[in-house]
Amino acid sequence: MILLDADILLIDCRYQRDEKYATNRLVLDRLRSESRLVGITQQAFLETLGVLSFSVSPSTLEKLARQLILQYRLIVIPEWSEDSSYGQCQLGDLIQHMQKRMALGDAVQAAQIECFSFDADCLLTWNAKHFAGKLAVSVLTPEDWLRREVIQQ
Amino acid sequence: MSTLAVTAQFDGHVFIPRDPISLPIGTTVRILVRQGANPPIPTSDDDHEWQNFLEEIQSNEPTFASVEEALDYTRGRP
Repeated sequence: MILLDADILLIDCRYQRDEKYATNRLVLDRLRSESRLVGITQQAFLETLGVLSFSVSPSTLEKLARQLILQYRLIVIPEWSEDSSYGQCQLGDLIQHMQKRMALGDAVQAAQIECFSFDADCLLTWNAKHFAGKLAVSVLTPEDWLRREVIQQ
Repeated sequence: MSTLAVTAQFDGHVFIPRDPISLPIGTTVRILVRQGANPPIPTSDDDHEWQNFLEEIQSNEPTFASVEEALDYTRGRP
């Protein structure tokens, strides 16, 4: 089996102006014509979906996952199933967050907050803009949080 | 801890390694079985849906300027 990293799929369907596109396509064509087994880790597949989530209609992300597997004849390892878990969250939960146009790392954090952080008031991050309106809790920069604390005192 | 890959054949009851293995007697191992290795072939409807996806993906400027930038972001590289 030949394993593909996320960049191989992303160059082929998103970054077609990349200087490596032609070689990348040549490799994919060859794998197809020789009927080679092509695999991808669940990690790399989720990363690919996360990046592509910024470019497709949110509601179609699950269909896109299915199409990527079909079109590139991918064997996802471990097996791809919405019931599978990642970071103790179901893949379906991650997809739901990616539908809000989140990259994998952010989607995992959002899903873990939603599934396990029942008593959290807010998330403090310097990257609040990446999470705005996408989490089950409010998102603040440390500066904003300090300001809010001062006002409340 | 190291990982050892062993090819084995299932005889209907147990897995039999194709080659001798150098492990202490009584060692417990975990066997991963890959089934149905051949992925399904897309139908013409699937191909049509895929073309629509490609057009949609290509119809807007990427959020990340390059594939490297996209992976740097998702993998948290500095």
